[in-house]
Amino acid sequence: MITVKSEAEIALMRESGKLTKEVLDLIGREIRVGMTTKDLDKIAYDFIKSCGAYPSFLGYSGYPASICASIDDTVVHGIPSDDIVIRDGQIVSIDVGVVYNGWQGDAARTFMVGNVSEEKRKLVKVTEECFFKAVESLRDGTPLGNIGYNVQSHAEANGFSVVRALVGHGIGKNMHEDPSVPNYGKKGTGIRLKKGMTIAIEPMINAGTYQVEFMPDGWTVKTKDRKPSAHYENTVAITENGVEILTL
Amino acid sequence: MAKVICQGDLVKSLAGRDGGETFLVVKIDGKFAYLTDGKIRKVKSLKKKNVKHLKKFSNASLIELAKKIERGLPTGNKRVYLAVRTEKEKIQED
Repeated sequence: MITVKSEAEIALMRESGKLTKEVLDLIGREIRVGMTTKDLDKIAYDFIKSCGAYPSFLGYSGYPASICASIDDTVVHGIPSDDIVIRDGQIVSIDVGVVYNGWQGDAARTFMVGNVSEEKRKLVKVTEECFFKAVESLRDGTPLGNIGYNVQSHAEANGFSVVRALVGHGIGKNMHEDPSVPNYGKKGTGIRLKKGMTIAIEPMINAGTYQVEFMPDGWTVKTKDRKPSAHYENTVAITENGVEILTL
Repeated sequence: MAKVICQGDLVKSLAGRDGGETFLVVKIDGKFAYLTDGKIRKVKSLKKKNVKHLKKFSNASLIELAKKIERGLPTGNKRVYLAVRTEKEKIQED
């Protein structure tokens, strides 16, 4: 069931969204060659707790960390580890969620570390653009399918592909609420978005095939052809005339 | 955090006595999915399973069929069974 949030509830999500953004900004300032993904996890955890909030990923369906740290051909849900050292030229997608006063924020950024290839730079840039293409025409009454249509059109026009096995989602008091928000689809289809709906739009874009593989740890997702993937996500609230991006 | 298992997805069970079997996701409730395959688990006795014990089997979506079952509308087990089997055969052909 899709819920519509009141102004007061969106105000609370604005607060958790702001914290989510701050975690990612902090990681963006700190990330460097030679760090482990576990180092980044600790930075996120310590900051979130210092704000009186809680990292929503920690313990979610048994997930063991506060962030997902996904490098190069890892699409999403890379589990932070002391054994994974960030190297020059890698792209590192960091996904984080924050619960504050009972309400959730969820966002992701892909950071370029050191001397990153032109192809990876283009992938990261286009992935972020896909998000903004998706939101630029959203408002009360827009069909949900327009999100996926706009993401897919922009990605494929640039020679990239769209992950289909994972999707964005509604968000509120729970991390994953209805509706599912695919990054592919047909314009004009799906439910009509309503003012007060809050959703996480998260393009996951691959340099090669759209197909992915789920690793034996039950979380990590990699591209099937092991080419790089990038991720960009924000939590948004649908308004009468557009959207409010709560994690930007 | 991206959502993996959705209503209408076809999934493979990774654990339990039904390990290796393929099911249709009728609905998701928190970390649990409610499943049917029209044969071992019929539409009127859905199997409740933790999503972490499931793996997405196919990029196909049978969401309209899943919604119909969720709403309690008349849906034959044979129809579900054939729909799941058709998708399994498509994957094997690939």
